[in-house]
Amino acid sequence: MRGLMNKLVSRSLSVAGKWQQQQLRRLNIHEYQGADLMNKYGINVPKGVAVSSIDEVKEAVKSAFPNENELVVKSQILAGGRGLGTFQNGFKGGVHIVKADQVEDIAGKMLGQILVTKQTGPQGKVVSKVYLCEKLSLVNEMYFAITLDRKTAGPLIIACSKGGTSIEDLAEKYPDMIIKVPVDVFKGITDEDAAMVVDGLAPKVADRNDSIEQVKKLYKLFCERDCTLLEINPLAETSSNQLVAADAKLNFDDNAAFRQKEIFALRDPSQEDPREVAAAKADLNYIGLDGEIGCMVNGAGLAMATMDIIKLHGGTPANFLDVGGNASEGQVVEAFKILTSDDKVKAILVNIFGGIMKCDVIASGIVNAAKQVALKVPVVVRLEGTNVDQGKRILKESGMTLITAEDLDDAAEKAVKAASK
Amino acid sequence: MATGQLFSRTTQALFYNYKQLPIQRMLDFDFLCGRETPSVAGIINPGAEGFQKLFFGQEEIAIPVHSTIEAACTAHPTADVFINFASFRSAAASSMAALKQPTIRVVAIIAEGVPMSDTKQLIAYARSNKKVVIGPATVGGIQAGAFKIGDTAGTIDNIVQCKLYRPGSVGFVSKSGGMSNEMYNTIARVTDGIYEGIAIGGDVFPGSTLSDHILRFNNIPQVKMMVVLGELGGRDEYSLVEALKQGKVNKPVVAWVCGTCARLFKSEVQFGHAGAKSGGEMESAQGKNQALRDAGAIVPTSYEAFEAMIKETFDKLVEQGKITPLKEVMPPQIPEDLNSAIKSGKVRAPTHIISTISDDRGEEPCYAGVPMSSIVERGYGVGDVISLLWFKRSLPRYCTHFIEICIMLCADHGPCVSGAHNTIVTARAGKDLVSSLVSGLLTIGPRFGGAIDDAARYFKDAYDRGLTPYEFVEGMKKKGIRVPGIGHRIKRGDNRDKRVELLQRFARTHFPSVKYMEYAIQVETYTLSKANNLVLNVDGAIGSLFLDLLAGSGMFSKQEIDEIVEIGYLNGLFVLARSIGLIGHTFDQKRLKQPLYRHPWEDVLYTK
Repeated sequence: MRGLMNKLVSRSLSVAGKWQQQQLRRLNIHEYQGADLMNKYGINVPKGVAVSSIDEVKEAVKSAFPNENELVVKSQILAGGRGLGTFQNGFKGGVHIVKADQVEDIAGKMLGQILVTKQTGPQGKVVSKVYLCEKLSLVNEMYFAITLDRKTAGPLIIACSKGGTSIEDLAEKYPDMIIKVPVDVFKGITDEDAAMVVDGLAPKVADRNDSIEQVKKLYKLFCERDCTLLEINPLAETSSNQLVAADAKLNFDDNAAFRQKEIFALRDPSQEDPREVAAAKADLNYIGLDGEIGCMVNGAGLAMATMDIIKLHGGTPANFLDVGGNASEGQVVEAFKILTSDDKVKAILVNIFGGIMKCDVIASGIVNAAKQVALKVPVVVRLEGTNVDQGKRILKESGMTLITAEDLDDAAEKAVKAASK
Repeated sequence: MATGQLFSRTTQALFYNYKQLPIQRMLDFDFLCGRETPSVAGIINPGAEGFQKLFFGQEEIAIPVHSTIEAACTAHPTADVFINFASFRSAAASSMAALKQPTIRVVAIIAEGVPMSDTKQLIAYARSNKKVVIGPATVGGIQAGAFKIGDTAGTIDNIVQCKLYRPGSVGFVSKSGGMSNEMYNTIARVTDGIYEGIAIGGDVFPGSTLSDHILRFNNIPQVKMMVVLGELGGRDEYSLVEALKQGKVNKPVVAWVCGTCARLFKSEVQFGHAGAKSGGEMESAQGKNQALRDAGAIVPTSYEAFEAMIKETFDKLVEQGKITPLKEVMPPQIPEDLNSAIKSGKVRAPTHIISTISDDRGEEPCYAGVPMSSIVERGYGVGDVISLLWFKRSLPRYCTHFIEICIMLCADHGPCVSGAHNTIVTARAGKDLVSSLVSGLLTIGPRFGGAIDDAARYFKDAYDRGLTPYEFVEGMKKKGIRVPGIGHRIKRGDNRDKRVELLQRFARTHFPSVKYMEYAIQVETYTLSKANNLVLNVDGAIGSLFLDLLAGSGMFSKQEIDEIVEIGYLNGLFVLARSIGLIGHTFDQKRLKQPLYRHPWEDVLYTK
């Protein structure tokens, strides 16, 4: 389910300073929530029930799946690689297909436990819910996706009569079977568009008109819920001649959070990095990483350049932190608190280019932060731009022990050296 | 998309959603460049009209404010750039409205967080109508020495340092606004500076792309080389790779794609969305840098080496004679804003108002230095507040109590007295509270309620000069002046005014000295011997007792007492007190829904 798309490190980072407040972090929703959403739009999905306790498991098996011999038991965490993951209690595999009478036992080993996968990092993520699904017997697997396309400046439907593996693999193996249907952004999807998609999918047993309707419903969901990616892989046909979205990946446009309240209410903070939750509260653009140099930079572009140079000098950034082009002293203090609360951070690098932002504001923020939190690690500061002299004077007069740097390169070198001590 | 220059020294913009600082920065940039016309022709502020005052150099100018985009475009048909500072919620709708105006050619969207599906519509519309969208999520762009969008390039100091007030030979384009500031500095250091710089914005789908602008720069003769700063993610850089491969770009391009660090995280970090359908490798910074290098761009091995590469490329162009070094000009000094100049201690300016009784600048307002919280905590009354605000000192409690009694006694005197009557007539004419109150207050003067000061003045003068009551009264009579504070329409010697008695009793109990009161009583005794209605009235009682208060409390110097009497403080007491009654009469009439008052004919003597 978590296709290669997850790995594409792309950019929805804040740039050009933060002119307006907005939702900065990316929304991920659980599998059962996605299925529920598709079901609401009339899209065929496997029958499933999300449960959070053994009692609920018993009840669900009895009432929802009275005639099933086998069920799929899926851990619900917001990370990929569940099938190959391992629980911290030693239990292997976050997804199991089991006989109905074993569901309780298997679900019991998952609920409340920490699942570690290659995407979660070593700390893993807690499984608060498991999703019980009917086991489908599939006769055909296809690929379907809607994305926003650069070239046509609108949504693009991608379909392939083969499915089940990643689109990259499909593109390599069956380049001729992949069809792309651009949808006019003003007109919306037409019957002809949908028919072209269905012809590309070439379902073997499902009814053509029903399939056209399913495609139109998927498009409707994509548009109405401000999706940036809707990937159904596989889009399957069952032995009962039905087209079913067997597995799905939904990405939403964070920018649309203000008008998609219902979707964004599905956010599950228990699955998020607590550092990121704290940063979001202070309206900072923060992404936690696992290196040893804490970075505080203004502007996403400069933040990336800073991280690049840290790496060049053999260090690893502990985070991406953009305080924005217009940060207040208070935000700088909060940023420092987040950086210093991270045990892995062995040195802090502050890299500020004061364009609109004034260096003296940053400097006062650093001095104030030092009063409020115990600075146990060396701090390297590079200030440049507006009011740089005032900023440097404030730092100097504060009596703090800081390592000052002349330029970005110098700063990175000193930070890496300080962190390795 | 336009194929050449977007801006010139005469380009004018319409600015949507008024923000003082960015506009002032644009106008300051104009002044720095020696532009003759301001680069902001008009401002659009939904629902507001009029003018905004801003500085253009030393002069103040008034920039028209329009309530709709259509009105602004009609009023300023030559303004072809639309700078949109709307919030991310409304930026898409207002940008689309602007794109639909025939006069608008370029729309810059500053807001970060415009939903992608909305941006897609803007891009589609702009493409089919040959218009340019810069942004969203951008700081904008700048053509050195000609035109600047909003906050581009930061403060004036930064602009001067980057020599953006005059054109150089380098075309620059990046995603990030913050990094463009850094790069403007770098480029100014190692070349003759920027010709034009654009930040396309950080969204997944920018309105115009890196390659759109590079191809445009390629058509501008003054641009001799291009610098591109890309970022990991997306495939935008590949359209530039294509353009390079197809030979569409014939000027040197120095490029670097940031984000090489992204590879190093063991877990699969999700920085954001992936919109495009391609392998991860292709969207990585390394992949893009390699592709650009292969296509013929000049790509350094790290960001550090970027500056050196730019310098090398520029120096080569100079050697080849393609760039002739330009003569530096000194930009004019932008006059400093008064506020910041005062703050930094550079100038001093005279104030136009002095105030000594109160201060609202601190944590809480102060009356004569006493903060509001102490006034409440110490249980002060309205008399204490009056003593602070009128006399600028805390008077003893018996004094402030006396002031309160005066106010209570003078608060009202029935509906028939002139003031109340006027208020009632006005209220019944349907006028508002303030008008009704004021029409009553305007009646206060020498014949109605205004005798306290005069009484105090004459009693004080007579007493201080040691005149006997006989000398005083007869002297006044000779001058043809009625003794103020003496005489009543109803009260008689055997039927004293109750209010006068109350005041005098209080004073005898609490005041350390009542010499002026005693003198007034002596005067009254003499006047009563002339006529039974010449009693000391409430004005005379308050006037004389206030003299005792001022003199007896020991808190005022002689000059201060003279000044208080001279300025006419004591009438203030009556005005304040009677306002309470007049307000009451207004409410009363309104509550009773009384119709317009008309005086009856039979009550008027019509005569020739």
